[in-house]
Amino acid sequence: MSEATAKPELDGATRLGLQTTVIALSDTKLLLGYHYGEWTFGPPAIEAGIAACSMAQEEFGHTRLFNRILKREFEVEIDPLNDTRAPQAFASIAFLDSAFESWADLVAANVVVDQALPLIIRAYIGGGLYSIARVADKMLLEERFHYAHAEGWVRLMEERGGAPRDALHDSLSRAIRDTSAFFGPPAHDAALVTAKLKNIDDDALRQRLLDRLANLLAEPETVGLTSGSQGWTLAEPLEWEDWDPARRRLDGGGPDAAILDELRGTKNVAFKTA
Amino acid sequence: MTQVSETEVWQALEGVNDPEMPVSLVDMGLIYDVSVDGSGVVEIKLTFTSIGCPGMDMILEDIRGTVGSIPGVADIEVDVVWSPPWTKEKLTDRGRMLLKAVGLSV
Repeated sequence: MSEATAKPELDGATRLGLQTTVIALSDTKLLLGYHYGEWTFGPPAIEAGIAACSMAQEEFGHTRLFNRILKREFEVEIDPLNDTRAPQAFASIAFLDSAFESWADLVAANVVVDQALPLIIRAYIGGGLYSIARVADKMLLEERFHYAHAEGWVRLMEERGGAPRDALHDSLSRAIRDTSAFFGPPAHDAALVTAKLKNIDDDALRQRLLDRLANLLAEPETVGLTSGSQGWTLAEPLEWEDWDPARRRLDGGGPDAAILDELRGTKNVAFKTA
Repeated sequence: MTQVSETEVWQALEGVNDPEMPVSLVDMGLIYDVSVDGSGVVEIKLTFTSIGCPGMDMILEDIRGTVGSIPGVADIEVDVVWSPPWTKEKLTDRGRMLLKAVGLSV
């Protein structure tokens, strides 16, 4: 399979910033796909299980494409089945670290995490990394259906009120904080914007996500948001001292070992085909 | 040496079915372009219905096997492209008819 590429001349730091972004997109989509797959069973409607299964397939497909870009553009090889990285090496959004307790977690991941990634991908369209731009159209088309699913469930649980809405708000609060951290401190990606690899910085993308989420909710304050002069922000701002730029996270954790074992097929090594 | 034409390649691809549908890759609208150079190297640009398509490798293998059996083909280069993305509007009339016949709303 050949894929034409354009390799812009980048300095070391800019190149590393781009590489860590692609790894973070790949890792997060892998974990997101895992959770969608996990909720093929046990959803509140059989159609929701079918949708979750379909979204899992698409997220795994996106991971596969990002891993090809990593190999071709950065000579970094990530094969989920043969990956030996420790959980603390993953650059995924912390909200995805553990098994989801309820459907509310799935909906929160769907509407927050799954909407954050397309914002980042879209920012690279028209930038110098052709290999991202050439796959973005199709990815974003598939993501539109993920958003339709997420929006439908958020509106339904909001309308229903009571325990479903409270559970959703609790899940959203955690997903929003972890995903906000993923976007990083202001100006952390200034070099990528200056190099014209992306057309908007992550701080502005985070703002866009929070505004979009606030518009979906009757009372955005219940999920830890507050309205300010620039739009909606976190009521309790994040402290950035411990932010790890390689992992785009604030904490030292990582995905549960049991989840990584399942993703890697650890129990079925003897049956591997390659 | 036998000269291969683009028409021959298109005709061969009409015999390669999507593994999940009773429709050829051509009628699915998955083949975006075919070209053949003077030395018998065939270049095929194609896409898939979904990035997560589990049948990708199988389809590529079928293409290589089928097109590779045309006399005069020296090599096959397959370029998987994602833009413009596939939508059901890319189905041919025949593809639409066949899918309707198996109960799909297209």
